[in-house]
Amino acid sequence: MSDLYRSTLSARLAKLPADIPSNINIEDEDEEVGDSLGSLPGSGLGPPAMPSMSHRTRKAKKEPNPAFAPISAKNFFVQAFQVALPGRKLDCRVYYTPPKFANGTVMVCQHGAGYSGLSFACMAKEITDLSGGECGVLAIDARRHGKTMSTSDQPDEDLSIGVLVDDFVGVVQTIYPDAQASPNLILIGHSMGGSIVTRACTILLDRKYTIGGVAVLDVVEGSAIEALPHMNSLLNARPDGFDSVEEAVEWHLNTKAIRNPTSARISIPAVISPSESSSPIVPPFIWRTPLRSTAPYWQSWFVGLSHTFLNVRTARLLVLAGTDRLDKELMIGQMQGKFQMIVVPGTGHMLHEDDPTRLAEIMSERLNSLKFMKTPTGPQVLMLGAQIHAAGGWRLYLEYFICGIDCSSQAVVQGYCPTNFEEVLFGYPVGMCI
Amino acid sequence: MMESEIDGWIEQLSQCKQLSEADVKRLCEKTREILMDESNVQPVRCPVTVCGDIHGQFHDLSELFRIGGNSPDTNYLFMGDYVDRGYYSVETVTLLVAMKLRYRDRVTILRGNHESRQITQVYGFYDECLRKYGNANVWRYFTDLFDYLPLTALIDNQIFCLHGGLSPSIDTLDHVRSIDRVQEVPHEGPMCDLLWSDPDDRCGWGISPRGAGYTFGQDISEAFNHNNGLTLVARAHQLVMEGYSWGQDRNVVTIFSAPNYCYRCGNQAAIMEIDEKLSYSFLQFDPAPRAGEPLVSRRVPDYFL
Amino acid sequence: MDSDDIAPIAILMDELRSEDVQLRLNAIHSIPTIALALGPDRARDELVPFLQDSIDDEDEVLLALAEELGRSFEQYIGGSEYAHLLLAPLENLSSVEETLVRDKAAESITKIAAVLSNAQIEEYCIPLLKRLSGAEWFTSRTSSAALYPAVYDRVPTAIQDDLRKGYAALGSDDTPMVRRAAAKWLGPLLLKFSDPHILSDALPIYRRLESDDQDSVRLLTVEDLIAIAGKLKQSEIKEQLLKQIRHSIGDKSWRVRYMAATHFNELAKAVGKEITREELIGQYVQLLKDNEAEVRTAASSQIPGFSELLEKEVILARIVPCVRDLSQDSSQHVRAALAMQISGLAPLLGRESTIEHLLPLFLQLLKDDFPEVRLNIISKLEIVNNVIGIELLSENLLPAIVELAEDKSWRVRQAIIEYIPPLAKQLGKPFFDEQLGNLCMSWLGDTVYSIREAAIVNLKNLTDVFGVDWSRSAIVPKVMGMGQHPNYLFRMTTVQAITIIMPSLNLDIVRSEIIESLLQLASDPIPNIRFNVAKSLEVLLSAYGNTPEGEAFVQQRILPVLEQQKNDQDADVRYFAARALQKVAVVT
Repeated sequence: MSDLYRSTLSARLAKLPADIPSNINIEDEDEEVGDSLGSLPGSGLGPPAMPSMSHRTRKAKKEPNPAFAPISAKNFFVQAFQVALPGRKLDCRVYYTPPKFANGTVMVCQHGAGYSGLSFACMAKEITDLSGGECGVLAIDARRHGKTMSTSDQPDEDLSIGVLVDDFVGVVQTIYPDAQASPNLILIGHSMGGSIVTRACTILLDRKYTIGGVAVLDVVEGSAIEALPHMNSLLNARPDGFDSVEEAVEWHLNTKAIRNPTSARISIPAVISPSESSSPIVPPFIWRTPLRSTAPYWQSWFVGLSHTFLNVRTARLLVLAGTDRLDKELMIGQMQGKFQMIVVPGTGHMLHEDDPTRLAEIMSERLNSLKFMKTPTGPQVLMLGAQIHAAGGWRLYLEYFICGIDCSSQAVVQGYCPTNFEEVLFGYPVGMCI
Repeated sequence: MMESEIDGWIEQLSQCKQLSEADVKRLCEKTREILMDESNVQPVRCPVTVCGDIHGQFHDLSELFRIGGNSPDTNYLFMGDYVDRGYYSVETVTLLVAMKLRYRDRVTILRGNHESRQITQVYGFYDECLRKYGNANVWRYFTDLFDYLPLTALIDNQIFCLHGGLSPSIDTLDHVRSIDRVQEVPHEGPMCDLLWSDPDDRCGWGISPRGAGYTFGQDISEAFNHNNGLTLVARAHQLVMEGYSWGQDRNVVTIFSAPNYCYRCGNQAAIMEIDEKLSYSFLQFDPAPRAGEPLVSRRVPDYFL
Repeated sequence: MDSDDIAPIAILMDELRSEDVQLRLNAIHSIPTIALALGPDRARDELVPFLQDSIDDEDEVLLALAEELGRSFEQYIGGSEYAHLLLAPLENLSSVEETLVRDKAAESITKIAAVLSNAQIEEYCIPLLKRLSGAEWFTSRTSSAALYPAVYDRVPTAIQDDLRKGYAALGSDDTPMVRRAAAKWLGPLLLKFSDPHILSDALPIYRRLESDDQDSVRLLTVEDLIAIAGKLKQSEIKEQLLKQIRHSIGDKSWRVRYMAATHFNELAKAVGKEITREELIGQYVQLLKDNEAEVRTAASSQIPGFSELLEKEVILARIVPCVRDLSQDSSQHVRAALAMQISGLAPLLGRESTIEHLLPLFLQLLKDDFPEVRLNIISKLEIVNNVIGIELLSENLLPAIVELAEDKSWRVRQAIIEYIPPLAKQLGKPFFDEQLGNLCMSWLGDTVYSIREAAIVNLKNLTDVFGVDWSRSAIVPKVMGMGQHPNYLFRMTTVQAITIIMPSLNLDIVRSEIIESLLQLASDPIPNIRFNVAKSLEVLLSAYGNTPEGEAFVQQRILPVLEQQKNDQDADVRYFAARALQKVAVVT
């Protein structure tokens, strides 16, 4: 089901008379709603790719609606600061809630194309609350997104996957310069961001960071590649800009691009910027990231994602919005039990904004199941096993995990028969360090 | 209920034609009475043919019967995952349940992790029921029946069959027998593990990447088999490209019976024939030649990159 | 207006607002019912405008609407005199982005045009056509092409002149999609042109499209070419079309060549024998040798049809050498396509040439690595059989058949088994016994159930061919021998074989050769064997129980066993024994 099409429909139908009308003249209704939707794909019987380049004659400016006024992220993250990456000529914006304990866990979040770190604000707050502050959250504005700015005098056009991954790794390494002292990191990426964190994971593991898991939100290589040819008409369907921040928020809610007003009021202000143009046909606010210009890199973001994801050496979690749509490689991987998949009903592509509570629960459940492998200094006990020794006695297994999931090393400890296996397995202080 | 009526149902279902809602209701009610009497470790006698996941691939199930023989002449043991993902979950599961009702001693059907309310709502069976019957009643009849399916089977006290794998909370078959199975598949615990766990190259127990169940090593399966006087654990649950796969020094075998899974994975399927002397042989097969399986034109998702 | 009256539309609107696309689809499919409830006047005044203005949905729903409006919907709005009112919503639908919706809308407009009067066509369809053809968006222009054939012959010549000009404009539209549509519908349209307009109008449009720089446009002109050639005289074709024919067949894009290859026989028929023999034969050989496997596959599928237009010498000189190459083609799909068609050459070549040229190729293809190739050859052997006779065929093919009898694809083995009875008839008993007898028995031990089943049916068919006495000595002892096998599958096959073959034997054989072993199996340790014995005895009762002799036999030998089985510990054995006993009651 195409959510955008659906939302368009709902918005359009919303202006149908709600009660039984005595006359069925629908077109007389208030123009506003229809107007801002008129150029959506499939939004009418007219061709969807109809360009909105002629941003219509600008109608009289309407008053910003306070119901859609921006909300500050200050109650959602503890800090917001810039991280300078001089080597990369980049000044990155990050939003950060540190974990209660320095060696705790931090969820490092990377947004999708066109959005910003604030997309994770609501989820971040839920995670902080759920974990009682034990779990931190770090959200990064990618290059050419949000408040991340280039410090180069050259154009920073290049958004190929390699550049984005290096940016991401650069920020993590700047914030946590010592891999050994770094908290346990769980990488979360939405859409394009999913591709970035999946690839960054391997690099960070090589540099001895502890990565508790990778969670990819609503992106599957096969269907993303299939969707790419349609992306331009989807982009054409967006307005060129907005009269006000409120209007931008309202548009995202009306089209159901985002289904959570609070989240949209936090995240959307970061995806637009003042146009600073005096031309009457240029709206006062335009998109921060001119997505159309990123087209040359789209392919690179997604090709090989499934393979990389299935081979990354940590716990793998795929969270999809609405429906199960795996490509061949992931289908085989799933049927061989190589990763966990969760489908979140009732959400659209921006699932972490639509239902931040559910997403935070999912991430925290994940965290809990990984908790006992979290110790900062060296090998960690993940699991205890027990079996009958060939000679008849019992022996206990302690299985070690280095860097999260690499399970290659293990040791056998002679022991004696536990009276209750379950107690040994689950009652043992897992997470102990040897 | 007359045998001839059930024979009529089976005949109709064999042509991939669904039963009426009322008939499904009666089918499930009657079959529940049979399943209630079965054990969590349902004893099965050889000869028997053991099959893995089917997942609504009805035409491939027909191919399976062409390869392995028809019921009741051939005895069958199915290890779960009849529904979801394929286009004919309704016809597939109805046929297997009708076969169980008609020939309770010739057919054994176990529970797989997909025989659950929660999973079927995500992976297609629920939607298919809605589409084919216009309401969720049939889904409800079947998922209520699924709660009664036995969790495991034991062939001549030697071959232990189940959908997923072993559980750290279970070391003897009596532990399995003591589970109260009539419930939705829980998220954790022994019953969940039996339907979700996978064998693994690593020793001991491990966290399953699936997020449910565990992985278990050769040491675990060796010990389990030794402890319980078993020669083999036969299970399904994982796609294997050749249709079957030996593991853990022949303590465990995986059988997967949905060829070209989900119409895209390119794998062979297999079944395991166990003869009256308990020696086994595998029959591999490819997808049935199909005329006109609906080519579902998937709507392109509206990714915003 | 009180609310009762408008309820149907309110319900429709309500359902169209549903979140569930299935409900919205159902709503659309219910519009005939709603129209019926409203009555024709209100359906016209309220429902049609509503559909026109308010439907804005997923493509699936739009598709359903386009379809419903074309299903004689005019009957709900007052008949064909109002049918033109349906054009407006369809006009909207013919400009959406989704091709399926547009195509369905155009199809529905065509259907409506068929019930409109000529005056309505002129008043409503022609302006619509002009709007679509001149629309700003290519989607509308694309849809317009499909509508020209529906109206062209319904309007006066002056308007026809306009229409031809309009169509020519579509043919040179800037957007490739529009030119594609023009290429697609040119064929159907030009069939309605009067002869002079073929040369004056259709030909230039065709030539323009045929030399388009987009191969996706050019490939659609192959069918136009066939349509034009069908309307022209031989001399005109030679003058006007030869260059284009060469172009299309030798196009640099393989997709165009593929299209030409796929339609080659139609093309050859349209241009006639003479041009085919002078001109097309060379082009066809080119296609058979094309670089692209897809093109060779398509060309191979035309071999017998095209060869029918040629003289035998030409087939031998030009086609057969290509066939020889293709039988060793590197692509399995090409070889499979060839294997499907090659036997079609046998009737054209006659006995001697088939033996000389084709038989070696058959043998070679029967050993192909790709099962589909082998299967295709086997399934078409009957045609060759008719030309060269089974004797020669079987002599030559026997080694190959023996080999294929153990093919790893069970469907190949099955095809071979099905071919055995006619072969046996030709070979005769001694030769068969020597060459194929053991083979036929060995299939009974196949690992695949369907092969064992086919092998049993084969034995029955052989019994019918060679007679009961042969069966008694050649088949029955071997089948009964398997009944002692330690593996239950063999014993099961024995019982099932008896069940199938028994009716073709006689009571004497049953009494002396079969019943003893069969009744022993009635107490086999495996319940499946026991109840199959009961099923077998049921067949025996039907086949032999109705003569005095047979009845006595049943009373003495069969009934005691069935009575015993009725008390078996296994429920299924009891069931089938009881069923057989019921049969006794009926028969005796």
